[in-house]
Amino acid sequence: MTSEATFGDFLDDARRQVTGTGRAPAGGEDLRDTTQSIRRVVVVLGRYTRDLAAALGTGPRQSRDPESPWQQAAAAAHRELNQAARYLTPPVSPKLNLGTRPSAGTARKMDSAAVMLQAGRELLDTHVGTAADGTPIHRTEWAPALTSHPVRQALLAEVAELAARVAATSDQIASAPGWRGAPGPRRALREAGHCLRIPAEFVQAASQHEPVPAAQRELLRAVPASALPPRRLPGPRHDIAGLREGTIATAQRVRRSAWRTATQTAPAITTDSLRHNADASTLTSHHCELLLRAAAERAAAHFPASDASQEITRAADAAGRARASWLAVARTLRRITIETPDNTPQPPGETSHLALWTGRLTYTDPSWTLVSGPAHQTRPPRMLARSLTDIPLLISAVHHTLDCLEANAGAEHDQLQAAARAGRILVPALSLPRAETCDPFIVAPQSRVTDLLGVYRTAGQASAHAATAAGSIARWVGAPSRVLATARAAAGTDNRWRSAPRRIARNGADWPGPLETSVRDLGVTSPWLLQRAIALDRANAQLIMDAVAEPGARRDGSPAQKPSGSAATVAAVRAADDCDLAQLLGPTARPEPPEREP
Amino acid sequence: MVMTSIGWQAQRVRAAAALPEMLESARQAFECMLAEAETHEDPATPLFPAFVLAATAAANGRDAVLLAPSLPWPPRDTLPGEGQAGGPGEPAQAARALASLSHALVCRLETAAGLTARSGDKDACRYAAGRARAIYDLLTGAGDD
Repeated sequence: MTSEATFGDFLDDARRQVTGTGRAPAGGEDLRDTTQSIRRVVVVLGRYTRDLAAALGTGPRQSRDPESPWQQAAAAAHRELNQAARYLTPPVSPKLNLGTRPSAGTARKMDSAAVMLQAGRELLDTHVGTAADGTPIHRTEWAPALTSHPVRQALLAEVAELAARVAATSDQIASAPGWRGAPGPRRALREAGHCLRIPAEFVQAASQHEPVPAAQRELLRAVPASALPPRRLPGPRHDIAGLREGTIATAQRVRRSAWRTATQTAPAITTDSLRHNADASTLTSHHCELLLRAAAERAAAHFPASDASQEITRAADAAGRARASWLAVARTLRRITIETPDNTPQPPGETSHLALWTGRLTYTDPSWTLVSGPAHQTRPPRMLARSLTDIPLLISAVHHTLDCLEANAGAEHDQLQAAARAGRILVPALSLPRAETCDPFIVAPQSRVTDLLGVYRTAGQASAHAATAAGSIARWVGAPSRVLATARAAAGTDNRWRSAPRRIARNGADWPGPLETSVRDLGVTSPWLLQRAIALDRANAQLIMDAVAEPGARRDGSPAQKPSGSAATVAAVRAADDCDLAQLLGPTARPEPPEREP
Repeated sequence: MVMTSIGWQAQRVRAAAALPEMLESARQAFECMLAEAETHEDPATPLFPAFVLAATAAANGRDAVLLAPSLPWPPRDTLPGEGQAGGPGEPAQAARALASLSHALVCRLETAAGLTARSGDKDACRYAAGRARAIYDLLTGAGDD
């Protein structure tokens, strides 16, 4: 990670301020002032619990386990912190004007803690907002992890622990002699202290039922502000540490860009952007492989007896597979094009910058660029990791890089699916047999689209495997990037490639049926022939639906279908998402027509 | 893959007379460069990055030429090399041959861009020339400042 402020920094500062401030007052400290400062801390903590109670109470788990201990803990924390704030609220008095007096001693520390906690809450808000109906608004790629139950539980545990510390301080203050002020505030502090201890008791009980893993608390503490480091390029004077940091910062920017692309409704992809990204991802994963092999060599030198070197070598192999799969993407993209309203060539994006940063780390030439041409010498491993402590930092840079490549593959895969549905994926007409058209590019046949999505899936899987391998090493060697693996697991994005559909949905109005697909695969563009194919496809579908709906139409020996099943089957045919009509009809031979490679 | 004669493609590009003929030879030359560069996309060789980027530049150049209004359509289905067997085998040798072909393309396409009056042809030639220059720079290191 880079040296930016994180949520944990704010938490630590607040914890320091609220701990051990219950000493006897210095001269001139007023108990009413101090009580109000404590109240400010309690109010901010209450805001955290309000969000948490809403989130944990309306989350997807509620229906399954409406009275889970963590939900009870969130509700109790919210209730008790509110009650504590009420105890600490001074009675309405026209003589009281607490806001205008400068705070001193304990009050100042409590005020500072309240400010830190509010800043921490605002930091989290930059990633996840809340809509008017209470649903979370995801603003950055951190949002899925932050809205996950384990991380919310970690946050509740932190808040409860802070509240308990405030309770201890309140008790000390309430019993310490020497304060100026009426007995009212002492009583309020004691009662508030009682309330402030209760959330920790609930959290303890919930933790016994479902503990918060240490990794989730670590992840929560590592959350940075949403503002990204500025875009920059490596200079010839960057040292290894600077190149590592630049690589991580650029990877963060690429990850954010991929997240934005994935959440946009209008596809932003163009042929240029896809080809640039595929080339850059190929080279970046190649660099990652070389860097990991260098790290493995250094690990072998530092720990001759351990498995560290072998593990890093395995991660390097995984990065090599990612490189091969991205190269397959690049090759496939050279044979398709995306129809866009504006075909103006685009400059390379930040993925190219990432290839540049990792290239500068990999090669000795301080002015290396993507267009530097032939042969450049790689850095000797001892230059990349001079000491033992450099190995985790190098692993971190590679881990960040591989992680964002996977995000890129996911975003582009999804956008290509949308482009395919819209018929925006084209191929050179010359690459298809029997293409009789005056247009140089025609809509890609389904086989090409399937191939394209397939190579993206493979690249996503390979990048994910490589990132996972790097993440395992990061955990093992204590690299700062280990929180990325925790975030991925918390957000449930670590297995997205297992659940991604292998084909795009065929139930769209414009999507061709099997016969039309076969005709298009032959490169036929004659409207007359295509219309006949479409009509036959529709007739096929209708025949299947009629046959399914026909009572007693079954002719095989299988058990008769339940009456209610017919409608469901018809619906299934209509909705056939991943299902080919040809498959429904039975095994048919629909050979792929030979394609003439360009 | 059938190895095509890069040198023969370069000759065709240089010998093309009219714009349509030049565009057709350029299209085939880019196709040929794409295939040849992909043959050498081997991470074990130090030329790997150059060939990856050169292959994509060749695809971009081909796509640009395909959009030129004066490109004869349908294009003549010329057999690559027309019997001249084999192309460059070693990566370094291939890089030199591709650089030579791309240099020929730059010259012809830039000249054509300057002479043609049709904006579609002018844009196509200019963009394709830029891609050919990129290939030349990648494979010779000329772009390395």
